[in-house]
Amino acid sequence: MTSMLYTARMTTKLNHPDDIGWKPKSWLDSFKAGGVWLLLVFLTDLPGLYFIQHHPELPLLVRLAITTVPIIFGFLYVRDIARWMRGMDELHRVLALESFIFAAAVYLFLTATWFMLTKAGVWIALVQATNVHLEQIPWNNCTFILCMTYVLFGVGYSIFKRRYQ
Amino acid sequence: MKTKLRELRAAKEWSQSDLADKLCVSRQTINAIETGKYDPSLPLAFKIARVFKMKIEDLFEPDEN
Repeated sequence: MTSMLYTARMTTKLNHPDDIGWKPKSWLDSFKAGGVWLLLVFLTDLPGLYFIQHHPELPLLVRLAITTVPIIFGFLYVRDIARWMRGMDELHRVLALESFIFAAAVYLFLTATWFMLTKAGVWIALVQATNVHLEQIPWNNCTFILCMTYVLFGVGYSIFKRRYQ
Repeated sequence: MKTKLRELRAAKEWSQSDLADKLCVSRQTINAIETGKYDPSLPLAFKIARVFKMKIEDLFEPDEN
């Protein structure tokens, strides 16, 4: 998570780690640069779901508010990422865009595959055979989506940057 | 795209970082342009031409393919 907040600090502008240097920055700098939104997603998403599960008697509007809050914070984080990308030079903007598209496409592909395998009954068979509960992967959870996209973005970035070296 | 950027930069005794600073881009961008792995946008190509006081077509040539 610290690493994700660290990435969020790049919203303060520019370019590329080699050029601007990976100087350690304070948590306050990270927060100012958008990391605060990410942290708020983490702090509101899973605890909110847990709260709703254990208090089903809550009114619909309250449940709606609890589930919507992390999505709003997630949107604000994405907005800051977009600002960070706008501050890049053109080569790195292209690289970052390619990596984001890669991350989104792979995530969609994985989600679609996972649901197809669920329909085919693969996960039930797997649980019966191995007791591994892959059917419980929270594909539609805000925290999970952000973490997976972050990892896939890193993979994409390391692949695409080779093309320009 | 072929470019004479490396030769022109060397003639002025500028490092890639020096040129990058003048153009407000990263050093990697200059390197990628010089090695032909990245084609600059039109605004950046104009900026480069302005720095070297040349025309764009004197700096860049399209590949034959």
